[in-house]
Amino acid sequence: MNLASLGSLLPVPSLIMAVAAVGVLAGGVWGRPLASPRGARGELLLTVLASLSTLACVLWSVLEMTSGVGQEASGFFVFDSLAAVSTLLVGLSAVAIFLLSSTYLSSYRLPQAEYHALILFSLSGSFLCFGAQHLLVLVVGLELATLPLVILAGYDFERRTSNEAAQKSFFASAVSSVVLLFGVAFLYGSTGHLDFEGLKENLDPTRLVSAAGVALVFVGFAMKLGLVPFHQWLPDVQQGSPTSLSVYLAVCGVTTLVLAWMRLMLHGLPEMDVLLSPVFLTFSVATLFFANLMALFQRNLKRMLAWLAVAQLGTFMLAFAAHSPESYSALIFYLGVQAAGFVGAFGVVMTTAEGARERDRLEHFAGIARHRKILAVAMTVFMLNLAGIPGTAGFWARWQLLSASVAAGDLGFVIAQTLASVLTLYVCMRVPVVMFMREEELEMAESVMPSTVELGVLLACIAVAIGFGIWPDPELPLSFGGSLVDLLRGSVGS
Amino acid sequence: MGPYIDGHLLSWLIFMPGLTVLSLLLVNGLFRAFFGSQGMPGEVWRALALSSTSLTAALGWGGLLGEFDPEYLGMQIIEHADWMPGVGLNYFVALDGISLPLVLGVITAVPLILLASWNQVLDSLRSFVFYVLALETAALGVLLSWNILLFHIFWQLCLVLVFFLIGTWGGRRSVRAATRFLLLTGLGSFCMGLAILIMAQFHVDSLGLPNLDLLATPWNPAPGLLEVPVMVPHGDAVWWQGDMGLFLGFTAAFATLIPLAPLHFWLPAAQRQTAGAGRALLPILLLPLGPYGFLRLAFPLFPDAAVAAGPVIQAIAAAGILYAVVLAALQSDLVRRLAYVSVAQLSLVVVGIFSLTESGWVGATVGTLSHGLTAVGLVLIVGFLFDRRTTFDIQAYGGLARPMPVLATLFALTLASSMGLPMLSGFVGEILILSGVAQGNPVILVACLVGIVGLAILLFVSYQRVAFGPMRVPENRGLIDIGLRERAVLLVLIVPMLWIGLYPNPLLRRVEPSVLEMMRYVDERKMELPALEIRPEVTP
Repeated sequence: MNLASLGSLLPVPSLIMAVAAVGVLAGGVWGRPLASPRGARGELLLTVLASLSTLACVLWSVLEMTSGVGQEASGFFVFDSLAAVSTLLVGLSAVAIFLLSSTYLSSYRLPQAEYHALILFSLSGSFLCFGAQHLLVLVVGLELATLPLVILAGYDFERRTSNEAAQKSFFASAVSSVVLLFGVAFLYGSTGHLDFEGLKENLDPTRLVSAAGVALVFVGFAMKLGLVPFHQWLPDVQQGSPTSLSVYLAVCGVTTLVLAWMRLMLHGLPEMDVLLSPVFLTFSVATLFFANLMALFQRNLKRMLAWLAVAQLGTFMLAFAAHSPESYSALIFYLGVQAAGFVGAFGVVMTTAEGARERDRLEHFAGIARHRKILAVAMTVFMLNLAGIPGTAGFWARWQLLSASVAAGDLGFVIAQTLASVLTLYVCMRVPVVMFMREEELEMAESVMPSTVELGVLLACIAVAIGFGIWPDPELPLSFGGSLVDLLRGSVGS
Repeated sequence: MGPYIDGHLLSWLIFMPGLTVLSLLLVNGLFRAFFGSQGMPGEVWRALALSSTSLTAALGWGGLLGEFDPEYLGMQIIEHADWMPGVGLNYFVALDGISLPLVLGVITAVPLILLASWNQVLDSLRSFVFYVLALETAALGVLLSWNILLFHIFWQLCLVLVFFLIGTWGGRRSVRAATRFLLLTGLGSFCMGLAILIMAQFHVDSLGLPNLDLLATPWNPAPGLLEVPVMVPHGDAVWWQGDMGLFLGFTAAFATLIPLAPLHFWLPAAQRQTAGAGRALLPILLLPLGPYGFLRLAFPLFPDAAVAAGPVIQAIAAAGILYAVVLAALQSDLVRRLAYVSVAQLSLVVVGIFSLTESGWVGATVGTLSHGLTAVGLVLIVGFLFDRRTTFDIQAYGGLARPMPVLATLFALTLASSMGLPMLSGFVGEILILSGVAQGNPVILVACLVGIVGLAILLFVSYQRVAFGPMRVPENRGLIDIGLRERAVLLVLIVPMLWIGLYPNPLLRRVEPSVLEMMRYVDERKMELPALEIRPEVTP
């Protein structure tokens, strides 16, 4: 049994993450207590360990991609190109989030071992569902990915809002899982198969049971994502959780769910995409306008960013509606760009968090440009990225995705997305307005200076946001998609 | 010209201000990092910016007038580099007779505005310098781009920079004005972006690769957008899904920036709230981009749609002239009054463009330049008055000719050019536009004439209230006349006005061939279809 086939038999990144999680937990148990100076160094060591193991997964996926992926599916799991790219995306975002969280958590005096272990378990689940070839593997992966986040939402247990976030997150997660499993049960009942191969061959869309199954599965996903009209839990959870979890939810959580759904659509339910297009388009329009309008009225920056993340989901649904290789590859590029943007934006919020008081209202950022220019400029870059202004990667991501949608013929919905983008522009511009054009209202303590690590992560995110905006290599956005197009076509096996 | 500039003249022009500001930021950062100081003070930034923009102006005047061939039909001084051919974007810049006067206007005005702002006390002078230089780069990029996606990119950068320029100084009202500006122009700009995206997609469908260059070049021999047939709705497509929809997308962007009534309401607030000499940047760096867009892109790319929509837009513009004149008369705030005057003058330019005659187009180009120069001059003069009296209210002035004769004289000259007195630049533009309009609908012609006369009366009365008459307000008695710096700024602006007015031939000689070339594209691409019918949409 050589290494190449190992990747197809075992979910290697998932296992690496699980082992790392246990290791981090053990390290926390046997390590020094938090308050001692050795303890602080130990915490840093745990963060490094978590980051390194995630980077190992990323490296594994890159190696698998470049060495020619083994297409032998075991029936349950296959590590093909889509899985590799997904692992790369989520892994890199997670590393950035680890680095940002470590300073944040230590300023709150919260134990980091359990935190990092739970995130690693969540990543283990994410990497598992990226390569799923079987519905149960997908579901197990999703559950493993989302349950630790419920616990982590309540991590800051002394704050009432954090407890509330955990409760709401738990209910939402439970209900969505039930709906999802209900749908899986219907699919099993109608086709007799749970693996994607069997599903593809035996699914008869005209039967009511099958249609109900697909609908319920999709609704389960929509509830986990927070698509309108299943969005009610999202803003409170995002606001109440510690900010390091908010960013994980907005970036890795959303990316995991979108990529898992993409995997299901491409491999398990390929004929359903034409039938589901109108559904996706409806969700897209509803989400775009509702989420942008809600973001307009927010006074809390974390809530506003959460709503903006939901609004971006509306744009993602256009890619699913177009269901072409170009739209899927544009979506993956968009996910990567979004990850950088949100990691950076939440990172700025995390940097200004101070001690036990969360500074996440817009007023806390008023006039910050006077003394913390780097934070204000960074936030402006990320907001411009989100709004899709030329010069940022967000512009090209939107361009690619909308081109694919126009090619698929959804012109009216593309126009709707453009109108909603103007709303997004307005919402995004409120943040630089507050930062640059208002007087400093609250005193910014000297400690609110980004540490070296935080600064490094912010600069890396800025580099991604602007670098992919002006990259001189003419083929990069397309070749990233182009090679992915071939890979996707190959992995679909048509 | 040294060899290192040869062949890259336009890129130097576009990017010299941008590179200056980047190096200022870099040096500032180094100072802060290594010397722990606050970095270079704003005055140093401004001085360095002034020298850099003056250098750009010198380079532009010398290089462009030296290398520009007046007899050559079409684009010249071309530069082309592949950037992202996969999406159709190339760095393709060129100059022709339509962009030449506007580019010269921009590079001349920016150092003058910096010089005029010498005495200003601004909270963060470095930010001001940053926005001015970056805006100059973005505006020159728009004027010189011959790839429509590049045009769009520079266009949106302009909007974002002007947003920050308007809103950063001045408190809550300036933020409101800036937001209103960005929302309205942003909406237009996003519509234009969508139109460009659809064009790229059509191009892919018909030719395989997107190519958003306007014309073919030796570096990119694929036919450009002006050389392929116009996209029209085929089969049962709805009327807005073809070139009319695309034309309206472009028009949305240009109409908000001109500004064409009823989308003009952002301008008075924006101009009023921008601090200091930044006010003067809008008429020369931002507003001319609207008419230029019509001449360069909207008409040649979609001639049928433009001709079909022409009468409607012309009527709206003509009504806009009258409306703006009336509103201007109702303003007691001098800056707001000047903003409405700008709206009126540029609406006249739009009427000239949509007359679709050669003299209308030449008049539109000259008129845009003339408006830019005179509006900058007038706004700066009002700014000088504000420096002394800290008010823009017209009631606070009167009888200023006595204590400030030089200012009153230069004010009179600039005003005369603005209202179109012969021997000054405004007249050349106006008479050409009117002769173009006269070949069309007489009602529009009458409306324009009434508007021009109304504008002249308005400007006369404004001047009288400010400079002549008894000195109603005692504080005006002790006002000191404008100094050497301010005189220099105004004189450098007035010289082109006199030159164009007395001897317009050098300018007209260079504008005309390019106008003829653009009109040739319009004629060639017109398919002389019957009026586009609105067909009921057939669902698949």
